[in-house]
Amino acid sequence: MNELTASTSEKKRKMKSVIFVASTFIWIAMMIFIDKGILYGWFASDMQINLLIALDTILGIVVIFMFINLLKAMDELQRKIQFDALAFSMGTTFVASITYSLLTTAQIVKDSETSDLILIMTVCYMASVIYGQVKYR
Amino acid sequence: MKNRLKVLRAERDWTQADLANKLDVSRQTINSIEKDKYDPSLSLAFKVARLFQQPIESIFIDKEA
Repeated sequence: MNELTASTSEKKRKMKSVIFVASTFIWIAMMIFIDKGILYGWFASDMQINLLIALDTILGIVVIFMFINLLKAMDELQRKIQFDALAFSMGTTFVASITYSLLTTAQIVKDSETSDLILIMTVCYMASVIYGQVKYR
Repeated sequence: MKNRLKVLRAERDWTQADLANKLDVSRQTINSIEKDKYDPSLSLAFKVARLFQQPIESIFIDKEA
């Protein structure tokens, strides 16, 4: 592969990364908008709410495929960093959800919130990606 | 696994970014291989060997061998 093609690949990688981050941001913003909209009664009908939830779910699925596409565009070390981070966050969330479930059964924790687990997963993933980037700097 | 990537690159007066472009990987990957922090895949090792026109075993040396 010549240098021109290689640097084009690098540009493509960066472009895919930017598109992925932007679409994730839009998806999360929309999710917050729907959540607050339902809470504060911004929507006129249930039909409108259902449509927005469906749209947000479709956007979420698009984000998943964008992430897979981004992983494919990465080079092998970048992919390793991502896979390590995904494995770490999945394992931590798995253990945390079982612990959380046991604490709820034992009535030590009263209400289990899914958002807590998503927060744990996000923090673990971000921390692990940062660790990988620093380790392989 | 040890490697002679840094030496071979220096002989040709290439920067890490130059080599990264030629191999279609990030500069971070080249740096990590040179510092023995990361062992490349077999396909990348072959790509390196082809680029430097040297046998793969003369570039990558197994510590346990």
